[in-house]
Amino acid sequence: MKKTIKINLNQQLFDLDADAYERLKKYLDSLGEYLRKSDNGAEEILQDIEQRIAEILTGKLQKTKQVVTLEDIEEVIRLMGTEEDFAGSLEPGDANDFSEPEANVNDDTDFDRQSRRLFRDIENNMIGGVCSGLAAYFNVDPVWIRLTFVILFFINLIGLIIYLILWVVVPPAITTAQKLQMRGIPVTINNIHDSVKSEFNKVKENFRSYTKSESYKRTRDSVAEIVSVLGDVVLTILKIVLIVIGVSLLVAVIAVILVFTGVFSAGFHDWNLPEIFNPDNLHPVFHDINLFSVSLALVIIIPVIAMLTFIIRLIFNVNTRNNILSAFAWTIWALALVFLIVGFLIDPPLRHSYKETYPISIQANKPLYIACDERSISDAPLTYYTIFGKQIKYDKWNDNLYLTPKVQIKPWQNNYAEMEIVYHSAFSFLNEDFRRDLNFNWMINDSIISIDDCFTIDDEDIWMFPGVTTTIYVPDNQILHIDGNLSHILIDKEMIYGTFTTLK
Amino acid sequence: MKAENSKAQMRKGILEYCILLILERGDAYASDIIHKLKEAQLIVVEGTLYPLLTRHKNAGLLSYRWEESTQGPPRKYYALTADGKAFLGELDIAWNELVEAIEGIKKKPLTIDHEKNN
Repeated sequence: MKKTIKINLNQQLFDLDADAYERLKKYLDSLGEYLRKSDNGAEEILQDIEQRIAEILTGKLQKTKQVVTLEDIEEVIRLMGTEEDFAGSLEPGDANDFSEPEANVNDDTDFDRQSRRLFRDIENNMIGGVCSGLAAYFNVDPVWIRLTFVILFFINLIGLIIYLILWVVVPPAITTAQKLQMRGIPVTINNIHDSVKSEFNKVKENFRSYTKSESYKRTRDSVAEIVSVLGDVVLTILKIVLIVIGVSLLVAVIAVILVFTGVFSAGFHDWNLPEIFNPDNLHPVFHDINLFSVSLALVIIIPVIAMLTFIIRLIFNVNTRNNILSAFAWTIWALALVFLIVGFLIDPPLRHSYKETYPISIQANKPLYIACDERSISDAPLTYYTIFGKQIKYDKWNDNLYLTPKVQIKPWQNNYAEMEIVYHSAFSFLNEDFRRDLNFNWMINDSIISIDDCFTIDDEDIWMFPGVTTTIYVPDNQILHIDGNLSHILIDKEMIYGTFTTLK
Repeated sequence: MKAENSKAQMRKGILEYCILLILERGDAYASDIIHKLKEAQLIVVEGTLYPLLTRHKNAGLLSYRWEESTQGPPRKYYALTADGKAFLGELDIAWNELVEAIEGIKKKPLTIDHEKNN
């Protein structure tokens, strides 16, 4: 059993096997494309050819054979000739053309020139043939493309990301036709103009042939023809609009990536080019890979890649979908997202901490002074950032990142006082080195406690979201003097300042 | 170089002349022309005829009319125009000259050419 497709060829109805239909459609399409390039009356020639094909097919059908098969179509094509046969006959009297027909196949200046498409050049590849494919597409030496990718890779990871996307999305040039297309007619502004013009001419031709009286008489389904003419116009406009939208989206996404990776690699600093040559300034991911930063990066990068993939598919007319890969990527994305959410919502279980306690000597009836050392006050202009609710200050002159510690004062039953400092961070195992990196200072001098109002950290450690919480435990009935400048680092904003006695 | 290619080029060169000759004997529709050309072994694939017909029609050498057919839809009948006849007349002269030239080359002894060149 085979499926058949009804077609109208020269106002006659034919039933074609599905494969025969595909073959005939492909033949007529490619012939049309070829004729439109070189002939003015392409539509008329095509009409004549269709008419002849209808005639031949009529001769083949009988009472016992009602459906046109693939063999019939193959024979029709053999009789009518292909583009190659046409190539020789379209220039009558061209006596110089003695070249062998076979030689023409590889000579892409003559026929078979289709508009260029992006392929991966897997014959001249270094890795995936992406660079050589791009080079063929833009008609430049692959070395320049490769160099650009290498530089982009070292500036930040953008080169790698784009390469991987292109590797997945762009199909390799395998068949001869694809290899020809890879180096086909270049896509330039002129080409786009030409193709738009030819599209327009086609529409005009259709319209003219419709209004001609003979064809009008023969055309019963005039409504269908008008719809198809209008459809062509709309499709052409839509195509142009889509390309414009696609290009601007691509530019926007690349800009966003640049900003993001710029922030990542510079750690909030102004990013300036010469620093990339300093190995210390390579992407922080290289220094500090931990579970948290990896999941954060995945949550951001995977949707960006998905979007880029979509846009590239749109612009370069590439039709490859890797469902398994995309399902895998989205699963990873979901896992990373869950991990991040859990990390932030259920803070304590996933936060790693390091605790230190220090005794405070107190004397009965003598107040305990708690004050703040305002280290963050400097002449340097400060830039403020807020990341996940944490305020971060950046001192441009001293190249320092300042974070704010938290202080709380709790009365307890014991009759001695104690200061407990908890260093914590997300997804990172804390040790004494890390504590030292945090650079948090405080001072206990007799009954005077002074706590810095900020601590500095290295740029890379910002992605561990470090924090310091200081808890001062004091006995009941202790006289306290809390300095007013402690206010902005105290957790309990309701705390009164001045001298008072702790109560139960 | 294969003789086949040269033969194809020769056939190609006289193809349009032959089409005009066929139409001089009476109006014809594409399939009639194809049959005659096939009999004369001047054409290999049929498709190549249509671009030629259209080009000559656009150049004003041919005209066509639709004629009802008993076996199907109307057919396109081609006819020579006055311009076409004049054009054919020129091709006739050119053809005769070609035939004479070739006959001449075939008959004349090779030595005469030689002396002239020296």
